[in-house]
Amino acid sequence: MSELINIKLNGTKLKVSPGETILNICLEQGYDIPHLCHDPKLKPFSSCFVCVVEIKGYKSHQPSCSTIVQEGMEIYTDTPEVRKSRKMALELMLSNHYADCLAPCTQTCPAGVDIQGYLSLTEKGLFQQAVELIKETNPLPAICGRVCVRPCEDKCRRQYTDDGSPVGIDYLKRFVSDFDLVSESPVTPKVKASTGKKVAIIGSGPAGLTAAYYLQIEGVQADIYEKAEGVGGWLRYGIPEYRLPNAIVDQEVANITKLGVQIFTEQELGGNLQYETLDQNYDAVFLAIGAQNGDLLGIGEKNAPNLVSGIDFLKKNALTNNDTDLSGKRVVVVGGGNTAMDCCRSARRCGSEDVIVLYRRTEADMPANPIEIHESKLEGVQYIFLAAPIDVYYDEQGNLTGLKCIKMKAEKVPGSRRSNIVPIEGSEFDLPCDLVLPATGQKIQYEVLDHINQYYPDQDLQLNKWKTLDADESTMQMNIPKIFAAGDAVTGPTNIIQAIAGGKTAAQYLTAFVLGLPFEIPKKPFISTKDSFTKQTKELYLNKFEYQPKNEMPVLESQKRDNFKEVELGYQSVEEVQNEVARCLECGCVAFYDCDLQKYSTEYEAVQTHYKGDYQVFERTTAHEKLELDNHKCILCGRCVRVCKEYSGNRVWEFFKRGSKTYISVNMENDMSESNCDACGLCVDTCPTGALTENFSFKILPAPYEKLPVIDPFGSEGFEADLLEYKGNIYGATARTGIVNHKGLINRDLFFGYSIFNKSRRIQTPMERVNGKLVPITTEKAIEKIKKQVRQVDNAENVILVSPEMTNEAMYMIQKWGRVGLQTNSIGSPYFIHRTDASNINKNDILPLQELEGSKQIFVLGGNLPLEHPVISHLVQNNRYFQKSEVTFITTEKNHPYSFRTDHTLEIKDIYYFIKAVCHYLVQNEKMFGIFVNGLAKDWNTYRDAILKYDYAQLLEKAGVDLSDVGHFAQTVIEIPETAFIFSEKNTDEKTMTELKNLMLLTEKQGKTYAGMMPLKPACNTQGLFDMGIYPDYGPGFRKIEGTYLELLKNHWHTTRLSTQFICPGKALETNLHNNLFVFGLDLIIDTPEMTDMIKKAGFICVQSLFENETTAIADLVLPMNFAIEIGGSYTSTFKVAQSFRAVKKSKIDWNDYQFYSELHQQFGIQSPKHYSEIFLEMISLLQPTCCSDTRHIFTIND
Amino acid sequence: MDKLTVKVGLGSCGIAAGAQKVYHRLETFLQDHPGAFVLEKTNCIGMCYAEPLVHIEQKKHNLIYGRVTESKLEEIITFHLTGGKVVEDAVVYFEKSEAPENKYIQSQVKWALRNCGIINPEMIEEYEARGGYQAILKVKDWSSEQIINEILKSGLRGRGGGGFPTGIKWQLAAKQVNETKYVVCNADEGDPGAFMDRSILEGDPHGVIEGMIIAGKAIGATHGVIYCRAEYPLAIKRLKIAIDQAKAKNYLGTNIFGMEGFDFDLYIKEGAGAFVCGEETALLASIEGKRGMPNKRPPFPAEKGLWGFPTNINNVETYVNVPAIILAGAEKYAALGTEKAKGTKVFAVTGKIAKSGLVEVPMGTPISTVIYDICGGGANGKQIKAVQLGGPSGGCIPANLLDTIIDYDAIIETGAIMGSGGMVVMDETTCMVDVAKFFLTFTQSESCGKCTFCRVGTLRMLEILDRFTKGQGVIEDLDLLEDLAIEIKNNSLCGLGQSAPNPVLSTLRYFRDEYEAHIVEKRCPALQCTELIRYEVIADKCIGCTLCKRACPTQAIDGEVKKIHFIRQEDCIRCGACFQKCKSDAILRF
Repeated sequence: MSELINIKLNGTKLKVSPGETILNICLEQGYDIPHLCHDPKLKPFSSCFVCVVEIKGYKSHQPSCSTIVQEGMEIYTDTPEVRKSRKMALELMLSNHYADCLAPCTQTCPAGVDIQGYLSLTEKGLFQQAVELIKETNPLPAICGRVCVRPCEDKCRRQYTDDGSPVGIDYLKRFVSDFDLVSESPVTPKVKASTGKKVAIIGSGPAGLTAAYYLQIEGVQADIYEKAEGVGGWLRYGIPEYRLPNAIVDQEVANITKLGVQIFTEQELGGNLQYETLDQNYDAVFLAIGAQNGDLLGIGEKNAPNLVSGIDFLKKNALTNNDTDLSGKRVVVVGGGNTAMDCCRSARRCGSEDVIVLYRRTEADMPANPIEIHESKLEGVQYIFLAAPIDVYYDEQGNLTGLKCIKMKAEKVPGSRRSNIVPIEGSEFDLPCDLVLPATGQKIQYEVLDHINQYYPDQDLQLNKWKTLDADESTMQMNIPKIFAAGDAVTGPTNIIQAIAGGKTAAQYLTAFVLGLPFEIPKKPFISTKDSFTKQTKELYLNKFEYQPKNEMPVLESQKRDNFKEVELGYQSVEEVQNEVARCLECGCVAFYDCDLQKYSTEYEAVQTHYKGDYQVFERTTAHEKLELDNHKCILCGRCVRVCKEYSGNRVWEFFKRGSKTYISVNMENDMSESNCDACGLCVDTCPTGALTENFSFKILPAPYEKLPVIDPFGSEGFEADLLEYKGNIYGATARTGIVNHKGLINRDLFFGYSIFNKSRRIQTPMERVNGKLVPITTEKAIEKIKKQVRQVDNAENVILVSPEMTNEAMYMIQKWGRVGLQTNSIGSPYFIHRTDASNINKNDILPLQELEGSKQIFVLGGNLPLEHPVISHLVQNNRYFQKSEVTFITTEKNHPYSFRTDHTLEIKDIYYFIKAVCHYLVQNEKMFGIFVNGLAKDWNTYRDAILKYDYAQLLEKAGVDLSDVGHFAQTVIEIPETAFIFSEKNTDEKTMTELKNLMLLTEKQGKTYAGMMPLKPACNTQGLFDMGIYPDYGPGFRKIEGTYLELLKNHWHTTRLSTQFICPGKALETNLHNNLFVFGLDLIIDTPEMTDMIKKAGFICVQSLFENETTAIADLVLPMNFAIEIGGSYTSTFKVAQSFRAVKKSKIDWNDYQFYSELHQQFGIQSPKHYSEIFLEMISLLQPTCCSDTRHIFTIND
Repeated sequence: MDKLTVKVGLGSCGIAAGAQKVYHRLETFLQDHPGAFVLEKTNCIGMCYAEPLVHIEQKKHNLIYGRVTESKLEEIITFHLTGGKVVEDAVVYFEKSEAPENKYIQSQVKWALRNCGIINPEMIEEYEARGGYQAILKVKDWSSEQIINEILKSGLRGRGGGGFPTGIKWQLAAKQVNETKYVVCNADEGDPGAFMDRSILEGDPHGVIEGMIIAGKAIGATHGVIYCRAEYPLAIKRLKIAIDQAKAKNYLGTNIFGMEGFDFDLYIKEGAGAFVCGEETALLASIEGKRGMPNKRPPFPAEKGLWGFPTNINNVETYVNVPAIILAGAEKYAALGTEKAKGTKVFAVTGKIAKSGLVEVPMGTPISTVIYDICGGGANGKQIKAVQLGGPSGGCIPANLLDTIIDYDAIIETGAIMGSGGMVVMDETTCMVDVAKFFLTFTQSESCGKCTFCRVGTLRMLEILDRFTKGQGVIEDLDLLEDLAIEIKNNSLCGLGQSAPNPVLSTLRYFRDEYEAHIVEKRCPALQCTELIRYEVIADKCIGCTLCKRACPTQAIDGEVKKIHFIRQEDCIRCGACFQKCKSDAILRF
């Protein structure tokens, strides 16, 4: 260890180790320096330049990720100059980042509903989760699903594809919301404990309801005061029932009052309700009073009973239960908005055969939803466009008899989208009618405000220039601090989703206000959008996507609409829903919540358009089955290029072209499928943006995932990893640097295979076979059945097979049950087939993982390392890359693909004979390590004699090698002390392993640093099989069951009796006729086909399994099972490192393995703990340091 | 009659000008008149403005004919080679006369170019005849330290542009303890308008090889690599010939020059022409077969270079100087130049200059001497506005500062850099915004794409310049441009990025008014930016000949015979066809 050097970091003197980069020191010291191209496991690169720092005496900024500290360096990490450079670096990157962080629909929604998110959940059939997500920002999805003006759909890019219509976002929202409303347990948010604070809400429209919902969730009592008899404001009195049935309003309101919100109806502020009361009883008041006064024509008209503002007409009709009769009357509706639509369509339903909409502009200019216009026409509404009323005719009674109108024409205004409308002189015409419904505007009822103002002698509620309440844009607070306001009363008449957005914001700051917390207005997150570069138009999307027609909303036939029954019927089938959701183009980035570029851009307040200019557009994405590259999001940090080079050895990715045209693609620009990528996933895992992603088989779900710490459940190396969880499902896996996984690598099987945790159709309950079919039974019944079966056979006829994927704790409990409860020792695992005694080698003499880094020569024996043990393969490649160690692959296959990633390949016929030949050569030529074998090793002489008996030529022949190959191989093994041998136990039989061990002894590799064998076990807890005693004659701690150990076990297990008959399970299955076969966690028929016939002979088969499979198909009793991540436990890696992990994921079934084993123990009269931590304690009390017999220095004689 | 030797300059420049034809004609002549003279090949002597060149070596007439066209050659054959009479009007250099043309060669002090245009580069014997491979023999018994001291004493600094003292570089590499070390020659000359290294490689390949062998001996390297761009096929061909010849003589290989234990072998690596590969770390990556992308230093190549081994990298001109320094003695070399810059420097003078070519002058010579005295001033007598030094990494020195002497520090003070020797002359018809755009276009497309600032930042600068030249600039763009320039300089890994904004910064420094004219007045003072030029008919001069009207491709000119014509500006595409056609100078371009 060299001496520490002195540096000054932001003025603080520090002693640091030489050779460290500035970045590493800064991160250690807690300075959060942004960095994008840096990955600690990769060689420094320095391309992004966001990690720059200032160093005194240096002309320019230095990238901290690759600058090594020097004695006396003075470093400044946060000067204005440095921040300016970083920001510019980000902005320059962003100026060529033609991509969307969020989908345009999500960005557009005033309430910020995560539309892509809930569509994604909908696609997965997780309808209630979708509602849960919607309700995070919008508590009225069933209402919005019917009547929202859907600005989201206006931005939906599906409309630009060949089909021309957007995704039916609203239809889908309606479907999931309705699904939720009628479900047994509708989505209910968790309400925080009461804060004791109270807010009075005036008005039960969407703004009021929304605020109440979110206040109540925060533990603030929300009391709504509603003037009318019914709840909902315009939802009930403005929107006719054929669009929004009152029942739906009632249901959504009920879901809000369920949280504790109180609604007091017929309470009119300034009428029967005094502001003073509110002021005295509440901590704050929220005005959601809406804009309730409808405008009339505004042409000096007199009052007339048949001149009614549109909204008054709608309200009256609603109050009279749609009882208005307009039959035989001509109705003229003036205006072109959604209220006009509601009026004309309601008028038709009230019996008028002659309804005319008079609109001063063209149809294209109408602000109303096009669907409404379309439907109204279907229903027989007539339109007069480009005409406006200029006078009113009355009869003597003062009733209106008609309108005098004038025709208008459109004049183009340069630079404006809308044209100017001017009257055509002399084009006046008369329009006789019986009822006129102006629907052109609404105003606040100022009486309420006057009432409040009276209470405050010093000030009035402030109004803005539109004469609406002047609430603060960010917080919705009024000039009177206690009063907040939102909805139409603030914005003027707009739409429901705006009101909801306002209500939500108000609730947030009302909560802070009543709790006396400061108002924290969050930094606006940076959002990259394609619109920053160019307007998204049809031309950019046409013919680039598969044609998928819109799934139209089923509607009531137009002939059947003479009533107020709901017109839109909602999607009728899940299939329609899935087809519609499949149309979503998934514009938003999957990495949104995890993207470093986005994170830093927010932090540095980067502006995407600051350095606007030319940008790259890529026509194609590079993809294969497992992964996908979107070059638009690539910042050319080269992490994928480097990780592929440094760890996979594949060099799949490479930079292409130069300057601003540079991009990443598959090396030699082959198609991805032609590359030698074996999808290890490291490039995806290291990508700091969303450029490289998994090629998802489902609609992507960008979500704020929670990271669940696990130990790799798919590999035997014990690598730490994190699962990405959202609402109970796993959507990804990522590397976690840890004691074992010190580089931060991830096993491809886990990286791409996490979806198994979400698989539905788990076995839910115990099931027994009745008449050939599996029928659910209780756990008690299942245990009873087991007991009955056990009684019927001899002890030795009970056979137990255990999966190497179970936890140590489970294994321990199972074998204990077998030995104590069933009095059998026929306990084992199919893993042992063909390798019974190989365990001797496996126990000891393993090259520790961390020492692999120092090996200078590595031999990989057989198999296909990158696929079987990806993480080890990565470490081998990394060693080869950095230490320049030589890797030799010894294989029995011709042109094996792994050959191309090694320095040398030896293609031979047989590995066992090859090793044997090498040993022969060494002994024959006396090149073995003499002092050691003579002095320390056991059985040396016997071995020498045995090996020399072999005919060398024959060995060579059988091995398929030349004399020189053997000599050369032997020589290099002797010459380089740091030589490692890596092989997968799956492909290596016992003889080969023992002979290899002999070779280790001969060449003195045993137990030497950086040298020796690294046998790799196949499953995550294969080593546990040994350690836990899943073995006939070896118990926990891998001690032979005899003598004192036998007594110790009896003592520990509180039993007087343990069988000393040791029959291996295979033999038992072969010989016995009426076996009880207990299978834990294995699909024997698939895993070990050779056993199929054997197990079928068993008299009774009990299988514990996660899913139904071929073995459960022949089982008599089936038991549910947990994933280890659901119950916790420990695994022991192939390097014999035992690691505990906690239960991190809630089980999807009502079952706990440990509880079951404990129950089973109890029923068989065995005393055992229930919780895995207690089981662990009992288990380790049997693992004593002396338990391992020393087999280190014994030669094995193979035939 | 004394012995007559005729040499034809067959460098790339000569060949391009037709020297091959000249050589063939002389060959056929010689077939018909055996023994009339000795015909030889040589390389470029540096008078590129006068190619093809035919050297006549004769006791009486030691001269060079220039611009030897086919008819001129026949004259030379008839009058000089047959008749012994000098063809006066074709002479560009006459050793014994006082011809003003002589100045071009006589004012130069040739160290690096000592053999160029003199010897036949494809014959090792000719190199040896001029002292070749004597320097290595001189240092045969010297220690590494002795050699390095000699180089240190000479004051030789890296001629590739960086100007790092060569001796110190060697010292650093020599200090490393490693069995394997490399000597690399950077022959990836990439600056637009620079061709010094090419001429040396084509004209004196053995000089470079000998320099590398000496460097190898000095630092303890056994292998050398010449990284030469593939666009220099003739240089590569001659290098290959030279290496083969040297190997045949055991000047390369094991125990070379009979020195027991001194092994040195040489390879050529052809680069694919990426400009950034001239940057030493990118160059090493490229030799290793990787994408040419620079890496952060330290570690310096002297510590961890090619394949991770200590490596010394110098450029062609540096190496070729070494044998000359050794032979002549460091003092003699160090006697030339200034306090901090010793010896000579080769420049490739191009652009708006009367005589373009290669010029080698002692350090300390004023730039004006090179431009006016040696190269004859501006082309066509036009006034020189500025001289661009250092290629895309360099900057412009305005005419009023041309008395600046050739010295690393003095040049840097002006905002330019010494660079590898590209000297581009600009006159009043050169638009400085366009010059900046030209160099930036080059660096932008030659950036390796690694660092954000260089990759995207230079593009944004280029776009701003482009807007200026199209009259779309706004004054705020100028701040944005400077801001970008400063940040790019400040935040790039290698020299390419760090110096990419230099052409912009130095033109902004001296010619800000030109920028402002483009932005504010939408005018290009040099009348180069097409979209800012306007054409109008000068009524007084127009004779109504209709020539311009007929030439206009967009029918933007109205007018009838014998009547004054008129250009409709809205239809004019500023192609300048009318301006060129008009015989009465009646079109005003402004």
